[in-house]
Amino acid sequence: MSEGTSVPFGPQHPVLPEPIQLRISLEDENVVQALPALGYVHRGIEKAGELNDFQQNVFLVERVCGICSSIHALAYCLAVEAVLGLEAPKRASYLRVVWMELHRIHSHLLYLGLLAEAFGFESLFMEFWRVRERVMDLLEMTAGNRVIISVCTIGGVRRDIDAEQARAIREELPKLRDEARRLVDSLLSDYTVRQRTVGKGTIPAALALELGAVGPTLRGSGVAQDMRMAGYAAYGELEFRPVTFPDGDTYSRTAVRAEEVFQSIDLVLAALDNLPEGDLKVGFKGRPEGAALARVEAPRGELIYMVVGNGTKNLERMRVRVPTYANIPALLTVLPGCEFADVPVVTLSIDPCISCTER
Amino acid sequence: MSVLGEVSGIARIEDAPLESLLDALRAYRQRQARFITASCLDRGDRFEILYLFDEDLRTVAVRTLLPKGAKLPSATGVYLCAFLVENELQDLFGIEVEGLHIDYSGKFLVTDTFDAPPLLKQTACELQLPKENPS
Repeated sequence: MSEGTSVPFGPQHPVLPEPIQLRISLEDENVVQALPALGYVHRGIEKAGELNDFQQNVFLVERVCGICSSIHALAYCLAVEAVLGLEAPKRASYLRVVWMELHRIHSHLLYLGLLAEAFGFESLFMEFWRVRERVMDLLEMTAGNRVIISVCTIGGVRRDIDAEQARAIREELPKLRDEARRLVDSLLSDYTVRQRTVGKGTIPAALALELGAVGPTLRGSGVAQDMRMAGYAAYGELEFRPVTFPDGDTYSRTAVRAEEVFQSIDLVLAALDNLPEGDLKVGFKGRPEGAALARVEAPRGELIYMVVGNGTKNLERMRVRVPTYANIPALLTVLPGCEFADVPVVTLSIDPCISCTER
Repeated sequence: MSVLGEVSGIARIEDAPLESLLDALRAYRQRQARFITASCLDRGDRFEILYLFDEDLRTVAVRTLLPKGAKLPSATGVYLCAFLVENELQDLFGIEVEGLHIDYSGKFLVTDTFDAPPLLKQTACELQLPKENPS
């Protein structure tokens, strides 16, 4: 038997868009242990959240993550609104759903492209990202920006979607759905992709729950849990059932995200069809005093904000728990037993976001 | 200073003294509650720590009060996935966690350049700029 070898995977690696290091211990080609080394992009955002005015924090938390920026703002606003006893107007709740689901679509398409690239499937990577660009165009059209869209505010939303913009979204999304379906079918039925993903990095449902996994990582193990089931914003008034796949492997996690693209398109169209007239936000006076916790479903899973107000303009505490943070233990548990060549794809399969994780 | 009262969004908060904290966490594990995370508040002479769990989309919590300078028993023997947040408690609040399975010894998120645990209330934050602009 050969002596064990230790290999650093990252912090710079072709499949990692952001820096994290996994210290991989190998015996021959088999992984026997994986330990993370973090701290490359820790920015002290929770501390900054105590030093800023609580209203400024809406813009701060959008910068936790570039991909799900708006969903961070929504979770923070929901928590502060709960402390202040505010309820966003119905129109604002529906508009929030539209923007959050557009974010989910572009996040999942980004993942699918990155996965294709990880296999060396460059043309499919570019095709996924070409389609994703059209979602970014919709965000730019409705919010004035592509990534940090700053639409959520405490008490509602800062922008409206007018009839002309709604018509443009209704025209674009069905076309986008057809193109995405063609690409997803190519990806999921491809022989090489199946060889590299089926049965790789399998997380059984019981283990996923025990290790606190969330989002597509949990649903890819067959557990039907999605915070949108709790009905925040306008999700309670829209038809919604979580997407699950039973096998718990890299293929299942990918398939969950792929199907969620189509589900999100349906949710955007349903929200626009049912968009009520009314105000965009409610005004408020006073400063937060008390504590609240908000849980929402970001593209990578459950995102949590807890705020504690002390009656001043500064919060006593702003706590952020992001989905990748919850999925790392499951990843570390399934890597041992994998072949080293599978580490990049299995790691990518939790769609890690390190900027979120380190805050 | 008082502890948190009701927290909107948390259905139930169960108080557990430090000595029976692990028993309380084990009870949640037996009920198959999913561990979400822990959250810590600096309350002057002590820390208020909430362990958050998911029970069918409801959030429930166990709260313990930790005097400053005391050691916190690690929850990793009950929920292994707690090792991330417990390392973070060591880094950001300077809490010593006893029995932590994977221990980064206070260097999980932060580096040697941090003079003090940044989330302690007495830790002042100043904008640090380079003394000389090389350009």
